[in-house]
Amino acid sequence: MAYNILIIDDSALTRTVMERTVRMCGVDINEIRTAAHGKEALEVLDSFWPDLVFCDINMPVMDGLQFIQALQNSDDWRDLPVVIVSTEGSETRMEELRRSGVQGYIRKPFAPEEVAAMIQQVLGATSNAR
Amino acid sequence: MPDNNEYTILEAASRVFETAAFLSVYPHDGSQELPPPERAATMTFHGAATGRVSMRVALSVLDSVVDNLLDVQNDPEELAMRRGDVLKEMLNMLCGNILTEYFGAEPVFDLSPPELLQDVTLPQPTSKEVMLVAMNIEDTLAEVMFEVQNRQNL
Repeated sequence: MAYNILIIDDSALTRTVMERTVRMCGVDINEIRTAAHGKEALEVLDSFWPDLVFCDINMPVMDGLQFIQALQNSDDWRDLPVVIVSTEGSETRMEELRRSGVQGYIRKPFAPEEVAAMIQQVLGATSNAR
Repeated sequence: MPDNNEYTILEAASRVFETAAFLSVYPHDGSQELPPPERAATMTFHGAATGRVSMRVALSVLDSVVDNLLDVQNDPEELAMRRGDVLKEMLNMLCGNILTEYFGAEPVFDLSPPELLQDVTLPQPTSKEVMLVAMNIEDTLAEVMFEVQNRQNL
């Protein structure tokens, strides 16, 4: 099975690095789309069905927390796996995100191996559940 | 010799530049003259405490980051176009890492989007709790300023 991935980050550099990393992670990838903030990501979701979302927290227009809240309020996207990729290191916030249904957390700066491990962990679980 | 708070900033900078871009960071004591910073950016944090983190670096460092991550050394236009984004993202990572090192893992902070500064001068500090740390990255001078303006929610 080939997976669709959505990457949300306001940094073009990080979007490019994430996209490259995802393509090299050893999982069969069908399509990767990117968005610069949560609002743009919601527009992407009108025509794209991802299996996993990598989402930054600190973004203009609509931040990652607001985007996750929008997913929670959607019948279509409530169960979409989201992994946060952020510079923030607060365990209080991570616990809050876990309670919101976030599947994982990668802290910036990250090593490519962390992204690969997270993809295999989350998509493996998703794949096994199907 | 750097004090503990300066080490905190140096360690955070090392982690960011080495992990994200494979660049080494060394303390700079001023004894050696290095090419000066050429681009600066700043951002603020709010929440458990309020303050600002600013950084200025040489353009060659930004180019090295882009090249190490995207392998575009033969494309000067691509390098130049990405410098601002790179500086903002490195500062963003640095800010998050400094806050965790300095205040611990419990407090929650909201970070403003990083802004590029018009010139290379760092913002004037408005409080007494301020650290300016000079470092050597790729044999150029880089400076990070960390300022805590308010701790009332800690």
